[in-house]
Amino acid sequence: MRAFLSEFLKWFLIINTGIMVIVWINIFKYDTIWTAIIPQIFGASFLTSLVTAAYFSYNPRKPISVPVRILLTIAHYLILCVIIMTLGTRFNWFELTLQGGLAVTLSVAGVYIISAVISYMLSKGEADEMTDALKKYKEED
Amino acid sequence: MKITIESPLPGEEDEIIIKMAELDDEVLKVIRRLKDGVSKDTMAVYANESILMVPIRDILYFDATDNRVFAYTRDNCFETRKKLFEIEELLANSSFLRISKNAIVNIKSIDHLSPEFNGRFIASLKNGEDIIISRGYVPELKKKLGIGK
Repeated sequence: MRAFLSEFLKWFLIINTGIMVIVWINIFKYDTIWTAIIPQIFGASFLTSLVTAAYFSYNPRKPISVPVRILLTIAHYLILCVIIMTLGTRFNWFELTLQGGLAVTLSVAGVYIISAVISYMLSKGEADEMTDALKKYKEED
Repeated sequence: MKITIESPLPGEEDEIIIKMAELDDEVLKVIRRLKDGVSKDTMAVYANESILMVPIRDILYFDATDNRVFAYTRDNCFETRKKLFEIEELLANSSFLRISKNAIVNIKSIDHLSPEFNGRFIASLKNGEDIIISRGYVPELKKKLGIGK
């Protein structure tokens, strides 16, 4: 449970940052910003982080092959699109038209890429740090 | 201390009898090693109904599958008759470390680490195999490597 909460918090921070970036890009065209958008962003981040943390709790024994990883990523992305489309329509972020739908899928893709890159960079740094420490451990032995 | 070694009579089972007024820690350790089939440097493993003593340093990792635990060396795989938690206890304070619910790795056999897709890590071993390090076991690995909190 502790590991899940920690994972959830990590994703909440990353996704929230990603959504904020996308929202900032999109609201430049408006003269006024409605204050209700802040809790709306937090709500969307909460729900998508919950799904993402649950998705990453999937713990297969062996490393996942590239095709399976691609399929899982597509499934995860589609679920996030459905969540944002549902919430976005409810919060009046966009109209449920072809153009609106396209804007959502592109925005979600944007946040997804930002989140994936940040997460990969963090994990890569951690892995490299451990590999270096491992070399030292072997040398000291 | 007197040590007597006798050959069993035909048909008799091999037996070790320890006659002591009081068992000290050293003797208890020896008894445990005898019972566990683990000496300081070797471990008893099973292959085709025969028992082999494998040098512990040659074991890359242990993996539990369907309630059976296997020891993997560079070229072979042997079954052990121990539970994973027992091996973990036996090899505590060594270069072996639990890295997931079903695996214990000899960290000296890890060539390098890389990130996996869901916050886990892949340990690439010297024999070319990849095994998963679960997120929950990473802090313990870092501690062992001297970079943990």
